[in-house]
Amino acid sequence: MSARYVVGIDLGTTHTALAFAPADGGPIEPFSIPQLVAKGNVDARSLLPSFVYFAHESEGAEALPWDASRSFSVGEHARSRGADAPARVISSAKSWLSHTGVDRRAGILPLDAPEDVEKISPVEASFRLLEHVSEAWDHAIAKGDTSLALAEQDVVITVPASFDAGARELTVEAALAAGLDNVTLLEEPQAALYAWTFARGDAWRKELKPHDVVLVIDVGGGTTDFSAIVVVEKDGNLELVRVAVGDHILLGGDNIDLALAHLARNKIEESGVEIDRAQMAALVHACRAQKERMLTQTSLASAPIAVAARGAKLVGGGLRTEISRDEIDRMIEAFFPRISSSDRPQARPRAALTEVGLPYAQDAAMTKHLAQFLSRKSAPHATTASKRTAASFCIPPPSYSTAAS
Amino acid sequence: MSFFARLAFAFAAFFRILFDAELAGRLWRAREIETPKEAPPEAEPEPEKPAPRAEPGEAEQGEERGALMLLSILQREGRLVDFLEQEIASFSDADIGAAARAVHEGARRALHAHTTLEPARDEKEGARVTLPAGFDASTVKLTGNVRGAPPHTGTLKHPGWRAKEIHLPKAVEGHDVHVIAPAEVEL
Repeated sequence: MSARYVVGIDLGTTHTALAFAPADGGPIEPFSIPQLVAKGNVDARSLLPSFVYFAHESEGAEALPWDASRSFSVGEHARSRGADAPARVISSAKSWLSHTGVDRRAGILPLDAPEDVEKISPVEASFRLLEHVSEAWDHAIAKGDTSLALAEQDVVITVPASFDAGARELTVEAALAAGLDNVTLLEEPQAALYAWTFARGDAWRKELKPHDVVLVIDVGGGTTDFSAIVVVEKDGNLELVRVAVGDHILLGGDNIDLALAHLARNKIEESGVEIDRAQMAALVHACRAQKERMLTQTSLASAPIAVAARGAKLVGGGLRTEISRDEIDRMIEAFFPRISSSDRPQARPRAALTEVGLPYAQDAAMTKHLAQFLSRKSAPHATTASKRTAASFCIPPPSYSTAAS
Repeated sequence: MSFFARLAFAFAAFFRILFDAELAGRLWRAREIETPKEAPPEAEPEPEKPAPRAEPGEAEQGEERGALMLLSILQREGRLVDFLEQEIASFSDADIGAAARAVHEGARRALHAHTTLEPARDEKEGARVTLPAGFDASTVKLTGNVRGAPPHTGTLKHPGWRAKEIHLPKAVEGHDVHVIAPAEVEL
């Protein structure tokens, strides 16, 4: 039987989202994903935080409407419990999926898990996220009607353009394990460009000409990806072809928040107060909110940073400091310095004893990573064309090389 | 409940009953409690006398759960209960202000995530408004020189609030909604 819906899943590093449209045409709707948002509370949210939390035996089951005896949870509650008990949560499973320095099928996550947690592989973690999405869909939409089950629909999952063939295969493997065998992978910058052309309607064909190069910059919370997409004329039609992709850089807005939080902590600790782990997390959260405020309202001279006391006495117990306009300007300058096109990210030598961990970017200057990407003259990432990847859009035509700056 | 509030509620209830089997079941049972003529005569007290119930009926339990759920959300996201339960008389405005900022940020976010609130009247505060005959007395309350017959002309002192929409998480079976926030023990 043919699929009733076309479904798009954004399996993101920090959040997962799903949208769908009738297969024969119709409006695109986002799917609110039911999930545990707090102990014993189930709510449908437009985003599913990409976290897997392994409950301690004292917590009881992480019961869902479709499974009362689950021992782990996925989503908002997993994220916030992970903030409470960090050793028991898997975050950024997607970054592990593209980490070639580890065995991505080995049970290594969570990294510092306590003895009672059975570690799982990055593939299995990705599977758990997709499994939740699939079960949530079946619970909310299919409701027993097998023709409406997610496994029966045409599913598109986005992956970073920088994902190597191994990471793409593992994504498909995770989807298969979740019962989704009718899956097409779509590269994220491509998806972003499609969304743009869809929003412009036919006007996009007047705005872009053959040989135009579109630089897609995706700076997220934890990752940064650059791609170059070229406009090609084929049989009289304009097509978009991805010709170059940068490395999957583990650098993003979260790093700016962390840097601001360290700055704030130093200021607070000058008065002799010590900040514990939970307060540090609250500090990061406060810095993120004030960073966004300061960058939007450019006339603000400073922003208050407040961390509440942890007990019930909220008033008078907290820690306070502020971020000045000068401090935020210098922070942005540190992450986005004005550079010349020949500047490159600094590679600091690795310490002799390196723990297994994600390969975070050595140089926080994003503009330097961009300069490196634009300078590449070598052939773009080789990707295998299979029926699982969206046909023409992953094979670059041989006559194009990276656009020179 | 005013007509317009019932109208909005009826629309919201239509979709919720259609898609939420559990709520539909509860409301169906609540419906039977409110029609005394269908109740078995020997178990039911007279319809005019409110019977002292041993525990609240299904509908009341539902309201209670909803209210406790909302309190729980506002505490979890904004620490509103911590703020309201603390004695603040001895603290400076600066201290209270700092706490109020934190509560405002979190509780407001939570409020917006779960409810859509709008003013009851569209006019700006301070504007002159004229209320025609038959105006909805639950949407507008008159103050000051309250006398005479409509149309009434006066100044809008407060635009009021109306809940356009509210949706709360569902409590899983066995979850004690009376625990608004669990105690925290750090290991």
